[in-house]
Amino acid sequence: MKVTPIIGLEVHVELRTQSKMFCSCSATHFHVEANTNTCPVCLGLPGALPVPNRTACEWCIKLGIALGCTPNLTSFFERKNYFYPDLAKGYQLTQFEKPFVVNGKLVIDGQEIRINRAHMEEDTGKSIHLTTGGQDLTLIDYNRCGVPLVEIVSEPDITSAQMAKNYLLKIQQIIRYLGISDADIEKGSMRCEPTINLKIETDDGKVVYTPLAEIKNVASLTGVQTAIDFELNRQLEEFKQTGEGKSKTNKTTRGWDADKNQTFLQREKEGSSDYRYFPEPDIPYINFTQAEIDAIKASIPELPDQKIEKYKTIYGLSDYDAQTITADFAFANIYESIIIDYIYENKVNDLTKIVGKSLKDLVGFTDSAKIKDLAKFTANLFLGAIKTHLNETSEDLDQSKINSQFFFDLFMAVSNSEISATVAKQVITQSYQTGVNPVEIAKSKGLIQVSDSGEIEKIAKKVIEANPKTVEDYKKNPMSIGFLIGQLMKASNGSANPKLAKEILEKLLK
Amino acid sequence: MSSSKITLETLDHIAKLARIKLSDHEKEVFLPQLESVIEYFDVLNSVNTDNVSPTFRVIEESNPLREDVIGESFSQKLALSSTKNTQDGYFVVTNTIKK
Amino acid sequence: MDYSTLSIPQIRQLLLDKKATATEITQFFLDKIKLIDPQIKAFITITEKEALEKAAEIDKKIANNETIGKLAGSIMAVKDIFLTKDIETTASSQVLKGYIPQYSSTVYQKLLDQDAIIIGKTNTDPFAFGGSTENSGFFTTKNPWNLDMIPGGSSGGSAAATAANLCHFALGTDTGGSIRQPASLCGVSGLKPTYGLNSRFGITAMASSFDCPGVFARSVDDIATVTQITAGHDKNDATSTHQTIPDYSSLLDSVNLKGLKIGLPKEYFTQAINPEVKAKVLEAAKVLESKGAILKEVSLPSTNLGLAVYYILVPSEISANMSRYEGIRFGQTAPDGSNIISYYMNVRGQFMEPEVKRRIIIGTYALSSGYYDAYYTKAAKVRTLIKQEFESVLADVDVILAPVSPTSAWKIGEKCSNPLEMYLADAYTVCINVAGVPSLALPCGFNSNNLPIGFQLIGNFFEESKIMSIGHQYQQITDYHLQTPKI
Repeated sequence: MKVTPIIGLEVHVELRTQSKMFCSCSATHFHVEANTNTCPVCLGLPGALPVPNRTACEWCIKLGIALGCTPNLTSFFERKNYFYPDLAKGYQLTQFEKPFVVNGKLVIDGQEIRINRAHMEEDTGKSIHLTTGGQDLTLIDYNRCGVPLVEIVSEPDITSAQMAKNYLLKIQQIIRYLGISDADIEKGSMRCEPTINLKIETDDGKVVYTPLAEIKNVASLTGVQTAIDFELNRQLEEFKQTGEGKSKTNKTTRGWDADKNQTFLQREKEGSSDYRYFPEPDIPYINFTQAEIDAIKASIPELPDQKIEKYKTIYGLSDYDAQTITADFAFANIYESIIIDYIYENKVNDLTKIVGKSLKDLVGFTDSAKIKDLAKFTANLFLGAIKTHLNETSEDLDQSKINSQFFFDLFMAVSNSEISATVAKQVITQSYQTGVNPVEIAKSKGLIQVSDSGEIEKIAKKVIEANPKTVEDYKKNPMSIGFLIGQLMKASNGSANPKLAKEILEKLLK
Repeated sequence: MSSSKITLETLDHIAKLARIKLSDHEKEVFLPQLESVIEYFDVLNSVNTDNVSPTFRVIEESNPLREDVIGESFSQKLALSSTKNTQDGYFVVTNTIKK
Repeated sequence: MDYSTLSIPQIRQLLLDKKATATEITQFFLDKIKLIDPQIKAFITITEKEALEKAAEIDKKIANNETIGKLAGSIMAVKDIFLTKDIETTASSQVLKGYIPQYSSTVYQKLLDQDAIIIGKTNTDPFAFGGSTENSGFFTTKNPWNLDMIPGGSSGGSAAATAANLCHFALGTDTGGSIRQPASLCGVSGLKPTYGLNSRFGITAMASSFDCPGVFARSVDDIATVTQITAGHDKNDATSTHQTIPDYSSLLDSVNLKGLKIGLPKEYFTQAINPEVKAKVLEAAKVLESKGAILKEVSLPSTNLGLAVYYILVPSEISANMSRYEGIRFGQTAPDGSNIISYYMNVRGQFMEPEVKRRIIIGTYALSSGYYDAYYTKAAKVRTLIKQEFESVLADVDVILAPVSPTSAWKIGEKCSNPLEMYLADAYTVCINVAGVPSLALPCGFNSNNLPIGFQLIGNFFEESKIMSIGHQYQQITDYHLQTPKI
């Protein structure tokens, strides 16, 4: 029996606009006193009318384009009718027939995941369920009612829980790059609902699909992965018991119990709810011109996958380094600014600040090999010394503490063997903290690498004299030169050029 | 498509969708009234609407979008002022189905 | 002095000339209402306190030589579906009994800002669902011309108050004829403007793509004065027009009746119309002809489809607009049932009036799965055809003249038990709402029982100034609009 998971994901993203989707109440609802950001519109009072938020619509289109979707130049809102106390009007304004954007895709783990659509809708209020004095109560806060949500619907092209997680991470990353939402799953500004079933090919050649299950209430990324794995397993076991295949009426909604780590049936099979969608009469068609779409497209920054590609091909970084740097938008941009500052034409004049360097050297920096060297050098420092420092202090990278000139100076010094790689790591951290040029710091602490053969030879001779036994061992075991190099480095306070040290010791010991 | 006769079952289903409780007497009175109104709708069946696009609004205003600026909201007191069923700043409903 | 027969500018002039105070004028109306309204029952709420407060405010401005609003001193009655902040707004339904709104409708606020004085909230069919005001959750309003007869609906209270001179003007809404029909049955003038001219913000929504707030008054001139204030874009209503609003009052003589082409649609003058009504309406056409207008028979072949389109689309929109009435944030609420579904069913079942329930059920049915394409989408497509028909006829003639109601006012209780018959009485008004064009209803005579008859002038989109000019000139040469019932 061959079993193939079929997973589709519905993602809701809360946009961080100033105001709500259809009224000008503040869209902030976290840590805000209940029912203090409401008005006739979001409270669903008699006579209230919706007026859509331009920025929210533009951000939906922006996200859609970033996901490879095609915008609909004309789209409209519809009413999705159902009754629940946190849905003030008794209908949700959403999009059905003509969403803002359609037909995109993301490539995850080599698999193309098609995106059916991304559309705008409004969030509901929050319900808190309590039991007091034997009575079940629900307290309702409408602060969140009307906050703009983008819903992204994928086709069921995802084939594993891991892939689902990676899909979500990628979407989250893109959203954060665009700056349109915090996309924080724990805080609820990004919500995921997987719909899962299995394709089962039995040994006697039959193909059956298990009934669809939509999982709700998954509140973390690991939760999504665990829930999907659980459900895949549950469906397989159930199929083995019942042999039931999917039909139009047996799709179920299941909740995720994070404590028990299992899904449970939430609602009796309801067939498909009759939401009686119809176009919203209170809002005219929303039209965008091609010029407006082009402007939105132009405002999209370089996206993660594009950056990763650039880092690997032009900067020559490893896949791992590229992925790690680009994980955070701000971090990646600060890193890049250093390379950009000193490579591209508009900053060539600054290179003359490098004392003693000839014009020939400046020209040399437009050489792609030199770009790669600088990029790798800078990446190592960013991912190594600087990241370590940030982890220790629990801080984010502070752009004002990064000076491109400093990195370039340090790069030149290491290239010229004036500063060892080890020392470079030390001084860049100190430079970040103090704002002083790292090369100056090295000089002031006497950490400038000695590459003067004469100097090293003096120290080497002293080391040979002080370690006669090791010198004897060396004749039989060439590896013991390592100890002598170490002693030499120690004697020079780490400032000797280790490569030269080895060469000179070898020469002296011949 | 000619409208099928409306059965009591259909009426019950629609009343539930609309969340309106109808007494038996109301159902008895409504059923024939609804049937006659809905039968009347069949007059549209004879109209050829191939290639006609629907009108959802008679006037299409060209600029329905609003700039993303925060405006005034109700105070909590005002928001809650039209009902007695409130508690600690929240609206209260009893007996919802727990999620 | 009888302040109730003066025009709006005349009242204002009295104030400026210090010949009367706003308080005196207001008290006059309050006294008159106390005397007469118990027989007519046009008002659900009489806003004595607010009226006298406003009057005092205006008198203070005058005493301090400050500018007073364009409607200063004029007494307005407001249909009870307009939300009026801090003043009970019931929509004539038990659902909203006791509801004190937290905000005001834009149109109402605009009038307050021009110093109009609200004298009371008028009776209507509940949430404006109806054509006779008999469906009101509180009581039925009587036609001032014959207290056994209905005033028409849904804005029956506003029409009756205007006819009985209990206000200078009244606010109403016209979704399928609810201004024009009661105006005609009560012998007053009423304007249904182009859809989107007046903001719908703050008015209980009936059918969002049909509802048109509008004005009743005894003269077209006063309608023009008030519409000048109410019309125009509202940022809170995405469907409200961005058109520049002309100075309607200064355009009242602008149309040249000579050579004016008036279309008489043959579908509106069939056997279905009462012969006396037909005669009076044609007489009105002849009056205009005597001033040089050219009468021409035109055809609006889709007229018979209008009712079906209307009674599919309107209840559909109603069914969604009424979903917010569940007693949680406002409105009457009922003890809870055993679960949330029964809570909703109980509250809505207990307080909604039969006509309200009926329309919601029809609309829910039309939108439900399996029927959506056959009913809703089909009706929306036929709506396009009806709209196009009006546009094409109005490209051929300058204005369309037609009856408003096939009969004059009928007896209270006569049609109650047969909703379909009630719906059919809307035949001459609904198509105008389906298309969205403006129409002005004017009194044009009386039948042999001394019941008023009216006609309507239908223009193309945003041609309010044209139809008001024709109506104004008609009222210069006739005096039906000056007749008052004896109560």
